[in-house]
Amino acid sequence: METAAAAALPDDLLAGVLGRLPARSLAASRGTCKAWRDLIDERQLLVRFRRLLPHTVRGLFINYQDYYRPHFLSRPTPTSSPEAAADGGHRRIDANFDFIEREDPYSWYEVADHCNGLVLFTEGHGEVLHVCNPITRWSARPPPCPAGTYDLYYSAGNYGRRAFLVFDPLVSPEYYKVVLTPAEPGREQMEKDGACRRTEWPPSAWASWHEFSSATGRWEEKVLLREGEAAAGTAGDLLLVSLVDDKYRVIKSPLQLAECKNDGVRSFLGRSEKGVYMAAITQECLPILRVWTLSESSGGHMEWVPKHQSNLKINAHFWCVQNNNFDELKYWNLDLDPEYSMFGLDNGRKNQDVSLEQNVSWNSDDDNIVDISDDKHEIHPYVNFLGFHPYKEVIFLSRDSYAAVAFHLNSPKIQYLGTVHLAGTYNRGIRESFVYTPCLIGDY
Amino acid sequence: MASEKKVVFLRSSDGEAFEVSEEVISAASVTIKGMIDEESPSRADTAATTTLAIPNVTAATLSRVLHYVNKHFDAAAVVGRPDDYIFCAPGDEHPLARFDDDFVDVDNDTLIDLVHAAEYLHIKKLFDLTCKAVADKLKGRTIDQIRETFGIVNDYTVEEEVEVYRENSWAF
Repeated sequence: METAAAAALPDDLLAGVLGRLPARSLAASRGTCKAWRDLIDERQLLVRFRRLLPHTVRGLFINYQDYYRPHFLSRPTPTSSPEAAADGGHRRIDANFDFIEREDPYSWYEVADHCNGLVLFTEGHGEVLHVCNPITRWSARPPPCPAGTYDLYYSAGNYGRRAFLVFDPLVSPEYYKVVLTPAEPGREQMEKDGACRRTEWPPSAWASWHEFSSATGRWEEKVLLREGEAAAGTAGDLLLVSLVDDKYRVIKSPLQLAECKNDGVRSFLGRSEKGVYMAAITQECLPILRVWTLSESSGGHMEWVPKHQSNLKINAHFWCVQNNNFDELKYWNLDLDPEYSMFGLDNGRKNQDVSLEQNVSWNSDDDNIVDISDDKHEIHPYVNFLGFHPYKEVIFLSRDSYAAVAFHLNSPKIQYLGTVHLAGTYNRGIRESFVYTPCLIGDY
Repeated sequence: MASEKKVVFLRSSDGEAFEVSEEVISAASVTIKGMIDEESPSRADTAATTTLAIPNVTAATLSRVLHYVNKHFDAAAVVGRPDDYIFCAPGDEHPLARFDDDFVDVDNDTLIDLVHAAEYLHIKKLFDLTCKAVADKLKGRTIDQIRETFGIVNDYTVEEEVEVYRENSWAF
């Protein structure tokens, strides 16, 4: 039997051991007991890994409507720094994913999910899935789900299945999972199915979930069992799904059903500084932004706590802002194809290979702050939600598909990121986007 | 002039004495070199050998340490090796790598004792080797596996555990 000898090591010796660990094992060690955590923090053992860890937002993957590929919005990448070369941390990310061998090079493709540095990438209508790490250029292709081809889009009165990527190197560094939700019944389908489904939806035993685990290399069907009450008739209820024991819980949405009629409100879930967040944008005459955080009481009861509310009638000057209002080194660019620039469609981008002294990961809180003082020329823009900053209480928004901004929840501060507009092509703007945090630690 | 090599005896905590070349152990252990230097004025002209007490290290551990020291620090053992690792080209395997691997392929308690001994005797190479070996036992493990391997008692409250997990999750 092993003894507690290691736990009883004096600090200097333990630091000698822990200091030789790779980052994710060090982080796991930090979670074992207080003494180890305090030692790791006191000796700042994790600091040397900071730049390798996905603690920074590197950019946004954006899927457009009616457009064949996603683009990546990021700050210009310095190419010359030796540090960048050494750790790959500043490697250029290309949402073209040219390192992935696609089944059909002419099919449309998009980013379906992002989780801790890994990207789930789909071809066509989602029949072909790839999992990749854009930094290391590693990729793998899970086999097709045996339940048949899954359509990730709305069809035949049903919403398509949604695909999620699950990867947590802290829990299992070697494995990732892909989860497919059951097709959700659309409004017409709901009405056709009649009241039985509406009175108890989702069902207490919910079949047709599928999970692919890279550990087994196989798909498995999952039947999730509900804990607690069914949805209480509100829209936008959150499902808390536990993949460990195949259970789920329904958490009541802070939105009222009446608000959700006619798509008057759009809601978004995400992870940010203090856990799980929900944002809703009400798009009536004025766009109103509301944000909640999920809080769990000691009795295990979960509820949404209001965090922020503001109207987005920020002045016209802000929403109409262009790249050329700012220092050219400081705005984010889309990874446009070279031919784009040839036709003069480069959205004002002047120089791809700018060398940047500062951190490219946009850690600065001070770049491109937009003047939001009151302005007579109010406009009422259509506001897109781009994502939550995973480590700060900041959300990314855009006006239609033009100016993307970082909106600080705790201070009246807005920073301009850049334009997300694809000039010169037909598209109806942004469909969805994923905040990307690169990961160089782990097996992928 | 004594042409014979000087030796010293090291007495373990449980009273067993081990003979080792003074030159070798001085090159290896900063701690013992310090002890010998302190002793030397009084024994400069005597033929008597010195016995040094090593109160923190058991016989079992000390004999392992000396085995390592003789392999790594005995110039006579290394002389004549064309592949002496100092002159190895980068990428070549360290000639003692296999020895080192076997040396640390022991149970946890033995390994931890070696870490203690290496630290006390101040043998840097051995300290590096043994710490690395312990680290390897932690590598790639989950939190629960680490606790189990090293007999760590989880003293976090549920809230603290969630907090630590959240702090770590930025990292991953």
